[in-house]
Amino acid sequence: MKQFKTILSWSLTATTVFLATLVSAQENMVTLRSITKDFEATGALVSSDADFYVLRTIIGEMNVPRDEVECIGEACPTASTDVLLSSADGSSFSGELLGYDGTNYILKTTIGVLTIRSEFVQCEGAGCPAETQMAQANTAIILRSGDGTFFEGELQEYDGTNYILKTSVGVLTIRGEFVKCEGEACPDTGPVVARFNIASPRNEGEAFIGDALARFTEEKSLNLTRSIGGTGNTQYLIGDNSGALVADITVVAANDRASIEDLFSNGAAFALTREAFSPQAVADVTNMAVTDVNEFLDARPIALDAIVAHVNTANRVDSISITQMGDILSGRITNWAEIGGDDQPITLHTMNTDSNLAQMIDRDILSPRGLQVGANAMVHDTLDDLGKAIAADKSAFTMAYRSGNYDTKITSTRNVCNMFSSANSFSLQTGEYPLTSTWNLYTLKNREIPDIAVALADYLVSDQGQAAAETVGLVSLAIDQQPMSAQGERLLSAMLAEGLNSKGINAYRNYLAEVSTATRLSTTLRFLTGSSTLDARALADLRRISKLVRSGELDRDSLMVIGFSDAVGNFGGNVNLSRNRAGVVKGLLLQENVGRLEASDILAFGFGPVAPVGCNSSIEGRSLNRRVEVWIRGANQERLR
Amino acid sequence: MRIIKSFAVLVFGLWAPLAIAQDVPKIAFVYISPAADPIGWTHEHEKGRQAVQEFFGNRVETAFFENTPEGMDGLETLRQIANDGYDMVFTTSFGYMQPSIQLAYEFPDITIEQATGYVRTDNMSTFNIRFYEGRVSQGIIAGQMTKTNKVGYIAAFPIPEVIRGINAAFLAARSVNPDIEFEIVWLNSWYNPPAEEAAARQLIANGADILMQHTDTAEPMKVAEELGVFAFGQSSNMVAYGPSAQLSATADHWGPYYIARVQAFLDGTWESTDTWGGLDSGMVEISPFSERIPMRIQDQANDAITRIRSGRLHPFTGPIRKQDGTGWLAAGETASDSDLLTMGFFVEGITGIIPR
Repeated sequence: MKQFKTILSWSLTATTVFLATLVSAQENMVTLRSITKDFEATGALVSSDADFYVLRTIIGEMNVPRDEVECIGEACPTASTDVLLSSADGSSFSGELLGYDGTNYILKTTIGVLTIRSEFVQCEGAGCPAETQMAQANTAIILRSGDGTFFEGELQEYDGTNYILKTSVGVLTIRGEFVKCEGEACPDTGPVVARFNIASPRNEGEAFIGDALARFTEEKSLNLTRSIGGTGNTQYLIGDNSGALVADITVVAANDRASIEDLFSNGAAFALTREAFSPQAVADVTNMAVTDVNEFLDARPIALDAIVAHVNTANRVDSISITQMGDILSGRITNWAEIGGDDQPITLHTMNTDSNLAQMIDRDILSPRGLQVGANAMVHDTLDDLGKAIAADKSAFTMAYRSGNYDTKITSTRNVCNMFSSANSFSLQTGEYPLTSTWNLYTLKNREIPDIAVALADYLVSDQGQAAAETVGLVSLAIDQQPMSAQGERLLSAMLAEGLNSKGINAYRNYLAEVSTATRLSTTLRFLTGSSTLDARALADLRRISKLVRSGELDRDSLMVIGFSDAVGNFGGNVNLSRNRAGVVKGLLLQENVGRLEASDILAFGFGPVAPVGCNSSIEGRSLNRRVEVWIRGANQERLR
Repeated sequence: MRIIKSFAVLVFGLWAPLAIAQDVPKIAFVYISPAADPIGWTHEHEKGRQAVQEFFGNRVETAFFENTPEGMDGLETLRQIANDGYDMVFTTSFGYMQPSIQLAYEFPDITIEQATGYVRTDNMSTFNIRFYEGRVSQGIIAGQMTKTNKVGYIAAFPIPEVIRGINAAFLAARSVNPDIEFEIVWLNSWYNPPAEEAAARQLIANGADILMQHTDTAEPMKVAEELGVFAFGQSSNMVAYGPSAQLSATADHWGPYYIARVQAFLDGTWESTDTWGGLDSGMVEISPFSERIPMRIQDQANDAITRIRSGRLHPFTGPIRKQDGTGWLAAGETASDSDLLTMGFFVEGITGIIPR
């Protein structure tokens, strides 16, 4: 009734009241709004008690129940029992705390009275119960320095380097190394956690790092836990035995280009790539002029892979030449019968053009012949899809990585000069399989990365890390050995090679005589173009050979270093050149192994342009042929007469 | 009489409709995924609804609202339910906590049962299961059935509920096998079939011959079956997916709770309560043990279950140290509910790390 009368009286002098309200109400204007938004009123807040707001508006005074609305505006009363309860799941509840019984908070909010289980929330605000406030940081600390000076106050922040301390003489920034902290609020200045990313190829790359990390942590008695995030990247948490975190590593899967970009933009501590980066590729990424990748990057070979032809396991075809690969990819060969198989059209499958794989195929097989992938190819976006497609289709063909763990058959191949090669791990290690690529580990020069990242990178390159590479289907760089008897296919190819004249045949016979009772090491050393300096892979291989020597395994053997050349130039000159190259390797080995190797322990030979492993008609082939092979012959073995 | 509302009628003319009384109470069940899911979280809630319908027959009318978005996106559906005259609604996920609070406010006459949340009102109750009690029998069996001494644990989020389960399983396994180790993988998701499958394969490749999971699909069980190792079902009995692999399962069993709450509503005795039911409440069921488990071990596990059910055994009974070596429970001391709800550490012996 009171309301109604008030309304009537106000309505008679509405205009006056309105103006008066406007003028006088600046200071205590508030808006009261119900949460369901079906009521809102703005006016002067006349008064309030525990149950009601009294609001004066243009149409009169009204009593508004407090628990129905929220009050917006500076003049709104703040209850001294207002609190904010916030939870780790992101929820928060604010309002007036009506009660706390040790188990639940009873909170009056704009959406009703809520009973909130206390363990799930933290309480902030003047209204928080005493017990919960004590659980909050008592920020009082003392920072004492060695000379007796001390600072007492409230700890605002510790950033790992400085304490920010609020004292009676103001806020001080105090360098952490000079003081010792006393008090409950002192931060844990334990070891800093190393957090970094590793950029890596998908699938085999991620698996390689995962496997290597498991071995690495096992060796160092650390614990490894994986956490898979929404992005699909895997996070590896390394901890010590007390559960304390030591390192937090995220493996970011991407193609080579993105990985190198990540490295340059400081996202990644180091990057694994499917092949070595050319100066042009680095220039593209960095927009800088790059002549030598080593100006910016340290590169270390860490594994081998190859591009091979995958066909269905039911397919009769066992061998597809490099030329035929290009022809199938470009659609010039369309039926299996054209290459010795059944009369079935070939279904061609490829990866999308953004992928490393497609780019390598284009560069190594198609572009040299001016070819392009045929329009009728089925394009896939993931290597898994590609592999499944071949396994499911009897007429399917694709070129993909040898390391792909698919239910398919990998064919052997022949190069343009008819050299036969199956993609077994030894032929990748010697470089004789034509489409071999070397995985590299890159770090940015002059950038500091955490010690554990350095240790991990070293581990990946080491023989233990190499075991991880083997486990995931890559070929390791650790030295493998192959007896003469297992080298039939290669020696046959060499014998059948074009251009073998009588001088060559004699040299070839000498070669075979020397190695007939020997075992070949996978390390096949090659030189930088036009020089007698070994390339990076060869230098790493030399270190591996030296390690083998130091292990004592070769104590009763002779080492044989056998040089070869390409077929450009005259025969005699090439024999000398190849012998010199062998001599260079011998010299380096003796230098590296003083006291363990005598000159008489290493036999050096040069056979010139015989036993080619690549086609002398191409630049790549010629550089493959310019090599030094390393064999070991038992003490009581001799060359065949 | 609420003054504000009558005033609003005079001035603004807007009004929120009141619930219309029905003769037969209508009860709604809100699900995050399809009711037809063959196993898993929603499937078990749906079984609860069916139990209610069967028990009360034509005294109630139940309906489900599947694939309802979580968070405030689900409020629209909840309001619809209220506007359609439902008297009671079960919101079966933590993600419905916020919209349920809102619903409770907007529709004070509706009765809400909110699963796994921690906020109640006069017209909203909360309920949850002590899943960690089920892990004890898993640990006792796993500890003795393993040949490699390695359990692979597929975890979801690093939150107390999941950490409780890992700790309980580990303590029980260690109690029968001091050499047992757990390898834990965090998937940061409750439901991710390809990641669960990949994690299962990886754990087995790393030497685990028993899998435990706190995720919602049968993928780990299928992998265990394929690769010839053992596994425990989660939320539902997964023996159909792992006829040889499943040793047992910890199944959610909502029927008895749902029936009790509906009964209270019908009787007019319903009050806002918070229920955290363990083995004693019947809300968690242990699926039948595999025949491949020797009887001696089955007896041991059953004994533990009986003793937990009767309150004679608490899964967290000291002496227990934390992973970092500091003390937690003294000999004979048991963990309080408060300890359990805030559990953010592993117990001593677990080598995994909790991401923060």
